[in-house]
Amino acid sequence: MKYKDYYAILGVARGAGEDEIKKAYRRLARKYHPDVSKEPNAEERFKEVSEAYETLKDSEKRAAYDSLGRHRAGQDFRPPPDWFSRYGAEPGFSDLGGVDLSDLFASLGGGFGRARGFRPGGPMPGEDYEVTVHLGLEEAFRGTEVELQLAARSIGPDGRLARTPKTIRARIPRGVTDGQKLRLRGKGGAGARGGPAGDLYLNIALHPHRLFRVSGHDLYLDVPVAPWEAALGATIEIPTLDGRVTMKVPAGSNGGQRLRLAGKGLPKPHGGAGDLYAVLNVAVPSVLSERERRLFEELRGASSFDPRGHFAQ
Amino acid sequence: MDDMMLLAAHARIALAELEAASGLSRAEIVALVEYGAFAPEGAAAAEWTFPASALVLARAAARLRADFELEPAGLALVLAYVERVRELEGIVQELECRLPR
Repeated sequence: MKYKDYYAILGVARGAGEDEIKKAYRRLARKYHPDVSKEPNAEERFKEVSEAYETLKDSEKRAAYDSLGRHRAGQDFRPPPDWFSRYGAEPGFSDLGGVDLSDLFASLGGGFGRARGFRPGGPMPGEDYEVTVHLGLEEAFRGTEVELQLAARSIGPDGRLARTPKTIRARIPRGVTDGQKLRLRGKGGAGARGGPAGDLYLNIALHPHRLFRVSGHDLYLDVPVAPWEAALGATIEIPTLDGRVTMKVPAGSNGGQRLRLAGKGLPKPHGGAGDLYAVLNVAVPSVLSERERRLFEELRGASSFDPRGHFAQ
Repeated sequence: MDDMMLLAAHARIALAELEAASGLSRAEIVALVEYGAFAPEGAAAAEWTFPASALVLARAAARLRADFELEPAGLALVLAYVERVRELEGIVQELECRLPR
C-alpha cells in the first residue's frame, strides 16, 4: 500500500489543531472544488484534499492514521500487525498491495464517500460514478458506443469493501455536445443491504476538430475566399459533418462575415439541429505571378475604394 | 438498452427523482426552490417537475453543501453564481468560435 501524507496535502503540521485543519481544508476546497475551480488539476487535487480532511477531521481516524507511522509520500508500507484489530478496521483484502489508503479509512466507521441517502444500518445505495468521455466530433454527430473501464468500489454482504474492475458499454446517442452530461441509471456501484445500485454519469468532452469549432449545437468553420470571390460573389463548396455542400458567397462580402447554413450543425436530441456558420476569411495569395501583380496594380489605379475612409470623419 | 438520460432541458424529472439522484433532501430542494435556485413547473411540490439539466446543478449543490457546510440560503447564492459563470462561459465560447483562427 502507498503512503499518503495527509498533513502535507493539507499543508499543516502534524500537531495542527482541529480548527487549523478545517481552515486549511476550506482554503484548499475553495481553490480546487471542481464545481467552482478552473485550476487544471482541480478534480484530482480536490480528491486528495477531501480524502485527507475526511480522515484528519475525525479524531479516531486521525489517531489510526497517526499510528501508521511516518513515511515518505508514495512509499510502500504495511500497517503495524495489530493495527486492524486495534482500530476495528475490516480490510477485506488478503493482499494490501493494490489497496488505496482511502479504502482502508473508508472501512473505519463505515464512511463510504458520497453514497446517497445513507442511513446507518439501513439499505445503502451504491456509489455514483462520474466519468469524462472524450469523443470526436464525428462520433458526436453520428452517435457511438464507448467501453468504459472502472474500478468499482462496493460493500459486500459481509460489510467489507471490495474494489473490482468493471467494464461498461454505453451507447452515446447522436447529437450530444461538449459539456453535456448523460446519466445511466443503475450503472454505478452496487448497493448494500438491499439498497439500489448507484448511477453512472458521463461528462461529454469533444476533442478539438481540425476544421470545426463547436458552440452548443452550432458549428463554426473558417472559409477562406479569394479577394475576387469576396468582391464579385461566388458559389463555393465547403465541408460539413454530413458531406460537402455548395454555398453562395454574396458579392461584396468581407472577412469575418458569418454566413449561416441552417440545420448543418450537430443534431439536437429532441429534433432539429444546430447551424453551421461559415466565417469568411479573405485570403490573398502570398506569391503573385507577374500577370496577377499587373492586374492588382491595374485594379488599384482604377478603384476609388477607400477601406479606411471612416478614419478621416 | 441502457437506462440513459441526457441531462438537458428538454427532458423533465419529478421531485422524487431529483431527490433520489442528487443526494439533496426533499426539504433542501424545497428550500432551494423557495430561494429561487430551481424553478419547477407545477403548483404543489408533489406535482413539481424539473428540467433534467437541474440534476446537474442539484448534484453540484449536494457536493457544495457537504464540502463547505452551506445553509440553503448561502447555497442558493453560490448556485446562482455557478449558473452565471456557466452562462458566461457559454457566451465566451461562442464568441471565441466566431473569431477566425
